[in-house]
Amino acid sequence: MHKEFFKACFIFTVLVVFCGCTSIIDSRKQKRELTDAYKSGDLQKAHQIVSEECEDHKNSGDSIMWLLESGLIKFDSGDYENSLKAFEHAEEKINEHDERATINARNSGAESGSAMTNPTAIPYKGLYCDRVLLNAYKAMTYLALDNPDAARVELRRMRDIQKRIERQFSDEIERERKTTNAANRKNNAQTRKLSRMGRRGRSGSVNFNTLMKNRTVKKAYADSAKKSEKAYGNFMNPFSTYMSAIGYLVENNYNEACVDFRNLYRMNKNNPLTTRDFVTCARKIGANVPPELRKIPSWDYSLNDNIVFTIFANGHAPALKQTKIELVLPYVGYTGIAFPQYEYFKRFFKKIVLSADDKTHSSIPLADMDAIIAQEYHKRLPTMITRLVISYLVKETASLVAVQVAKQQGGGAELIAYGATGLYKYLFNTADTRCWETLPGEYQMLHFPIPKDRQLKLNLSTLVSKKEILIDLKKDSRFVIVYIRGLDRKIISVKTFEFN
Amino acid sequence: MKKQHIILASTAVATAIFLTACGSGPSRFNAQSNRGITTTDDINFKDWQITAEKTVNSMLKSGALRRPDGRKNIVMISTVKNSTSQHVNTQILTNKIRQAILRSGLALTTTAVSARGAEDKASKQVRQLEGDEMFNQDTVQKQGTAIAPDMSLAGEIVQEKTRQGRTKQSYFFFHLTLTDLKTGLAVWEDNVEIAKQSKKALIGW
Amino acid sequence: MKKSAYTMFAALVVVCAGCQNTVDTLENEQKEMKVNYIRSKNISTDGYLRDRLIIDSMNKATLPGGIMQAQVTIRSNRVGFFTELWSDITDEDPYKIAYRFNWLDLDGMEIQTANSVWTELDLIPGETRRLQSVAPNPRCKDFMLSIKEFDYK
Repeated sequence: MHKEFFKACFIFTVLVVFCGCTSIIDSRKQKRELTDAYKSGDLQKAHQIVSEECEDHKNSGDSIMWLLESGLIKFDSGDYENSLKAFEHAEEKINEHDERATINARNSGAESGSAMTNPTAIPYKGLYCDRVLLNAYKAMTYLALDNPDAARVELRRMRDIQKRIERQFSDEIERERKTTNAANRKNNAQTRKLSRMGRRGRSGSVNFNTLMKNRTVKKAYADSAKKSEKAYGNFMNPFSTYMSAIGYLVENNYNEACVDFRNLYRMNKNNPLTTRDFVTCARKIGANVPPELRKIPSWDYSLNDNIVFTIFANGHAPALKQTKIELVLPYVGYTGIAFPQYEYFKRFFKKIVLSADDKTHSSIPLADMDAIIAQEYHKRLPTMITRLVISYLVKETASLVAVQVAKQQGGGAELIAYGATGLYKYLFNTADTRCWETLPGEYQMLHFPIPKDRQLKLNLSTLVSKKEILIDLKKDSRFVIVYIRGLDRKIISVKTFEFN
Repeated sequence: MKKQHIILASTAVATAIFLTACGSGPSRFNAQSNRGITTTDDINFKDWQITAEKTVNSMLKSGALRRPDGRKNIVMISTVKNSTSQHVNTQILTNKIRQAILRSGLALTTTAVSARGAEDKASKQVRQLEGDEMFNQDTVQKQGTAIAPDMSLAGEIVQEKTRQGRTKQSYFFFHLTLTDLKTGLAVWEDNVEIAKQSKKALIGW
Repeated sequence: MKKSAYTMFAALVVVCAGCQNTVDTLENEQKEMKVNYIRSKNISTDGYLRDRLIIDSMNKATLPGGIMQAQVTIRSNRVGFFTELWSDITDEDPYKIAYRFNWLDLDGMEIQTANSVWTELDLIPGETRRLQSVAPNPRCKDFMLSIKEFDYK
């Protein structure tokens, strides 16, 4: 009895140690202090917290998530060198995952860990859209460090990833779906076995369909479907495509920029900014302008000389939060399965208005991160549910076996076993809420010629404490990128990247 | 039973020895040899060497460096544009080439001017000593004595990446040109292609 | 039983050997070119390499600037049924070699340049290749070519 008990304790400790703390406390809760600091605009505090957390989670499965948060917070607070280090580190780790053998011991180990505990045992590898934005931000960081050549390299990497996402990763999701279907069949068989082991010869259990029919899951599925209606084709991100176009314009490569603008036009045919950009570029290189766009005039200024591109990063990206799916099962009674669900945030700013040379220019929405992230969530949801089912079944089977063994021992062992297995199930009932929370909820874009007085004025609405922010440009710059980060009622940072 | 224990123990020891033997301490090796790590995504030092070898041979063979009037051409190193998705230092290539140009005796290279400002800032700095009381003004380099370049070496490195299944491939295209600055015409051009491939393991750690 | 095993093996051998492609060459018989052949002194330490690679000729030319250019013609001799079968089994098709030119000046001193590095070369059985090198400067008139089977050393 003692031996068994110590064995169980040992296994439990090993699980806790190896699976990291997100297996017990969900990451949304772990990051609360950080996100509160960031959202209140206290970048200094956020910077300090994230640096410590990154150090603590250096070797855990969550390190990529922390590094992404760290990179972006440090970028926003103007600590470009450390931002670059964090992003670089994250990229290295993501690549390391990509380079692993197709069937490898570490992933299989993580999968079994996830079955015994919960999906957070699987290392966080970042969403596909995270990977694209990682290189986009690295490019901007290099611009801030006055290294445009390196920024161009990052833009090229960003394009590579985007290309891979379109071709390869959608296949990957399809493949995952097939494996989960196979796993589901196996699960159903195990469910029946589990029922036979139950106390009264029969026990209610969980399978893929019960979960998919659940109200909370159904709603999450429907919500993400609705949100992703606005998405821009297969995992496309208009922001990264626009960044790519800007990169080509700087290189004076109108041909390639035109390809990007054409793609942007395909992603969203009603965007007045990208449509006009496309028309301007197409006319410049003598390419075909679609008949429906013939009436749209070109911009009356050059897109790659004496121009200000302004990116407005607005609000918060959706964040996963833990919801308990409540299931009432015959003979087992109440069961709760922790399930991650996106929470979407309202945006305070509708747009920003910049004045230059007594003219005002307002920003136009370009990429809605809610839609982009929801699309990916929607596609990954079936896999997620399957993992939950597997984990549930493994845990239930283990508990049942433990209780039955204890029963044979007699002498109160049954009670201890009940307590221990209950604690085990309770502690590891955690949802995988890991995601990049400091991303903006939306990207807006605008461009106009550099004003003669080389000064821009950011006009803010009356609800914001500061009424206007002045942005001075260098005397000799010919190409300017302004990056403005806006949160609830606050503009937390304004950056200008200028080059000749 | 005892025999089994002995077998078990010796197997464990053998495994341990085998695993330790897998690693190796740091060591130096000849940079001109074929050793060294080859990766698909990056330009490794061997790739730079192969490119330099081919371009130097081609440039010397072309005779483009020679001048009919007997004076030696002055070559400046302009930029080799990096159009790959890797952060690379293209100076490894240009330095190898400029060294070969100088060693050939057919032309001279200048360090006083390059696409990114002077390679050696001293040529400009010493002229700022004019009027400095500390220096014997007869030994200070005078303005108007530096020689401007006749030719410029430039180029581009392009990378094309492809993936299919577990296999990934990189194709590097190195293109170099030597331009006569008087006429703006290219007097020599050549390219080197390097293709690399790797396949991800099916089963592994 | 035994008979069928032999037949199977023979079939396998034929299939394997059939997998390998060799290079056929065709050239004009009456040459227009005036080749300045050099007599060579060959020191061979690798018996395998000697059997597999044939050095056909060495020739040189002087370029307008007084710079010498050398060319060595080599041919892969890995043809014939058993040789091809063996190179197929040992995965040595194409045959990988590495070569290096070293240039010596008039005083017999070696001149190190960007060219004096081991360069890899793939040879298909029966293929003829010409290895070229240009002297680093006009004072270099002598050279030495080293060839080895390719390995990561």
